[in-house]
Amino acid sequence: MKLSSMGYAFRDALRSLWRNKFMSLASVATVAISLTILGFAWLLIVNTQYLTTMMESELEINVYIKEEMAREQALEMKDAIAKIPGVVETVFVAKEDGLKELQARFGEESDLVKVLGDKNPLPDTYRLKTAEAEQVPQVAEQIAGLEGVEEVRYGKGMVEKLLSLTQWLQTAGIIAILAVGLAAIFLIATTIRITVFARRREVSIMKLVGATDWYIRWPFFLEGMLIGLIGALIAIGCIYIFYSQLVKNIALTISFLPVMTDRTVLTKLYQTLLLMGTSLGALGSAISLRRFLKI
Amino acid sequence: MIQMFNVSMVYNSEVRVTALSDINLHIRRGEFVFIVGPSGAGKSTLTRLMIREELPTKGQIMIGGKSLLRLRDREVPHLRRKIGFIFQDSRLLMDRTVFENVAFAMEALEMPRNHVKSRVPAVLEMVGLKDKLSAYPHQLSGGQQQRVCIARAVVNDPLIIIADEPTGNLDPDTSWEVMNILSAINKRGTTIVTVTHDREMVDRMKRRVIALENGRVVRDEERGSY
Repeated sequence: MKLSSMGYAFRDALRSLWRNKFMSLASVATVAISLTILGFAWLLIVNTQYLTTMMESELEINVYIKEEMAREQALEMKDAIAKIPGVVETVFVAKEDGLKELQARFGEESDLVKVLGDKNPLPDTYRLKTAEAEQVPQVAEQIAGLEGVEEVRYGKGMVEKLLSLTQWLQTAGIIAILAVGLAAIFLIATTIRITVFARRREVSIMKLVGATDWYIRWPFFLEGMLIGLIGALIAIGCIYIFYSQLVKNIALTISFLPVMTDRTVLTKLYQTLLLMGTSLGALGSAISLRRFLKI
Repeated sequence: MIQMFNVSMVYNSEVRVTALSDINLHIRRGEFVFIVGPSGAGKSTLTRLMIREELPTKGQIMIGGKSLLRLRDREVPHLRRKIGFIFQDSRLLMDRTVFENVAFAMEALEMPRNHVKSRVPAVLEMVGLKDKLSAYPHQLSGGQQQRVCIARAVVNDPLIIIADEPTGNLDPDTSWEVMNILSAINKRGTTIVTVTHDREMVDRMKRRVIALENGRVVRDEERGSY
């Protein structure tokens, strides 16, 4: 197709959009809504993952050694623990050091040592880190089976909850996106169908004077793609405004909550939304043209 | 220019309808031909075959030396560029001006904009509508609308013009005007095929007349009458 013809196609597409203002508006709105949901779902997932990794790096397993174990025996356990798959860091904290830490946390002026007298209630402890958060429960279980281990403790439940939340969010997000995405495609297809009917006389004349099939199809395609594109731009605008506001508010109020603000990741999201909007539009047009534009 | 050899057309819907049987025709370059006959004689089918809207059940059709049966689908637009079509009801786009209606046919063939801008007024001048460029179809009389339709048909310089009842909705004087324009176009070498019911017109024009009845050619006379 020649460049000047693209100009004609563009003009015709805009004319149609304007002629079916309300239908076009409804389609644009549906695309915008579905892409906004998509964008937010995606941001939510990215942020929970971000949060998980942040927490993961702080997640550790505490292994308490039985009191009757001698210090040498306790130290020898290090190899056995380090050998368990998934364990990446093993730190031995002797009971004396544990007490010192505890005291430091309570502050110099506290009466902790005085109250305890010369008895140290703390056991020797190993502090472990795993490569992945998912491995924590499994590693903990294996260590609990080792001889000389009194108890194994970790943020039990927390990891599982976070992981299942991410999973759930992903599934829910995908379902929501599919539902609204389908609605958007359907509405675009309906809009294009209306355009096809409104322009059937033009199409029949175009065919009679010898326009090529693609010359006839282009304006309809363009119309669908424009609907998708405008919808995507609106969605991006909404996401941009809300998300930057959200980030600002979180930073002011619950600053310990980590939020993803990586600009390249966000740019990528916006690009994806633009592409998806245009594709939704093209797909909707294609469905309608296949069924209703008999060339 | 247009040749038909043993062309038959049978529609196989609920009942078998033979629209055309065994038609043999030869319309030469530059001719002006009337196709006449009662309703249902097969006149419209004949024109639909000429622009390859349908393929015949049997027989061969050649336009400008090319077989329509062997034409591939994507070549059909190029065939249609050689043919201008005029309808009884003019089929103008009501939401566009006279200029836009004619320009539309050139844009569909992807003509450059500046060419469209110079060519359309020239053609409209030829059909006597120079001062109606920015009028809308509903502001025109039936005869004027039909002249816009003619302008649209000739704007791409077709070799053949097929007019299906071009004067069907017009009074005798206006019909005569329209016919004169078609005659003028014919004088410049364009082959013209006119389907009509207009007995008076045909008799007055004294051109070749092909009469159809029940899907057969019953008469084919040079300088004939209805």
